[in-house]
Amino acid sequence: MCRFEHHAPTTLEEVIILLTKFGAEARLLAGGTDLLVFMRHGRLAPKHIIELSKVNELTRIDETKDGFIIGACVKLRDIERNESIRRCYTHIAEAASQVGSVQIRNLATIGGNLCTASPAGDMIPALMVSDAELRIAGTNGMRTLKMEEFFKGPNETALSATEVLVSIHLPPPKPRTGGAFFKLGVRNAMDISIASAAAKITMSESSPEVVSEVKVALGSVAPTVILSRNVERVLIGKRISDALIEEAARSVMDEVKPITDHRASEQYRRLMASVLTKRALKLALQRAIGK
Amino acid sequence: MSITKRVRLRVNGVEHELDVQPYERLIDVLRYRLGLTGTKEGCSTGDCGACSVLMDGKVVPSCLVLAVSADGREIITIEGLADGDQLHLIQQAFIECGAVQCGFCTPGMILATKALLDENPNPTVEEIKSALSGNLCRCTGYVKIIEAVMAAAAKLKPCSDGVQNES
Repeated sequence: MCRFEHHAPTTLEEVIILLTKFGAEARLLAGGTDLLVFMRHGRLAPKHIIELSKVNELTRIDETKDGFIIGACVKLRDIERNESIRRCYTHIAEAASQVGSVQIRNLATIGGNLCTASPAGDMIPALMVSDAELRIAGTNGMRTLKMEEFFKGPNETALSATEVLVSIHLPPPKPRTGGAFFKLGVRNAMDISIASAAAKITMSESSPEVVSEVKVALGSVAPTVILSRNVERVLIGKRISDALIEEAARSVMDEVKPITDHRASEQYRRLMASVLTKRALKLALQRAIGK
Repeated sequence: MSITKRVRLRVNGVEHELDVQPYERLIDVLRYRLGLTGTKEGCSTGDCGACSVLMDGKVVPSCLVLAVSADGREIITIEGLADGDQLHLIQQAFIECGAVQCGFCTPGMILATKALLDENPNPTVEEIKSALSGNLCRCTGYVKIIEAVMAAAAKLKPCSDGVQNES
């Protein structure tokens, strides 16, 4: 592994001072399950490592009347096992539970998964359909970005070199709402997804068979995770049926821009995006009606 | 550059104070400083589970933890499970069920099993498979490993008077 100096600040202010001082020579260490592998392979060779685990506000989950605030350094295993998250945002707990292995999830963090910004990052679709907002600290104070605004390309985010992701804010769960996440890999554990889909659906209060809101986000089928506009167009305001779900699922095939690589072909990914959309919508609907 | 840092680790119940390089990993300290070579290094990238140890009771790949990050933590390695000459009953179950072939994955398998049973004393086969999915056995002896975990769980099960069988 490359040689570096290790810093373990205890406040956000110190983190930003260190980032400002070392600039491009520094990397933030959250769980390390990506960073240490990249360093091992020589893909990254930072001179300074700024470890975030000692900053208290990054490691908390707070349940407030305005929803949930999840610190960027909360472990995926703690998200998977948090009773409130499992109840209110089932699809987010589901996505967390499908990352890597128990060992990896005991180290890996939600913020790390977002900031690595892989098109296959499992937490991204689940948070994107949940209207999550990201709080970011920098030299000029705090700013807030929507999930869709955060990702700029494969492994590229809107964070500047002196900014740090602080927390993920989830709005309070709505009634008559359900969510689901599905991921396809060659095996269940320790695999990068070939395609993934998260769905969240809210049924109308006056006519419970009519869709009032719906979101579907797709992973591994474009340079970044994408939110489907077609699904919204097909479903919102309509009376839900299997045929309509089929139509919505087909509609995503025109939106995705997959590549062919050693994991899967472009055609297969396009088809799977549709299949996973259908499964996610069906399960989300079942959960919305069940509530 | 590369200024050493003093870290305190409690490993298998023994306190250690060590000056480590920032780039030393927990597995390096365990194997090369403390001589605890029961922890195996397989892939070095967190994929195989051979280097699994318990850190504050949670199973983690020790190849992906910097030694400096483990400062103040409690570490249990495979050497910390037995009580003197008395093997831990998970170790005993692995032997009795023939769940060990070449043995390279075994320390990680046993520690992942310990973490599972500490949390869930009555796992189903599916739960065992999921808990051990981060531990690869290239002798492919998974069936007997799952049997060993079931056998260990059965032995660990508290009796009606709250006392454990054979523990």
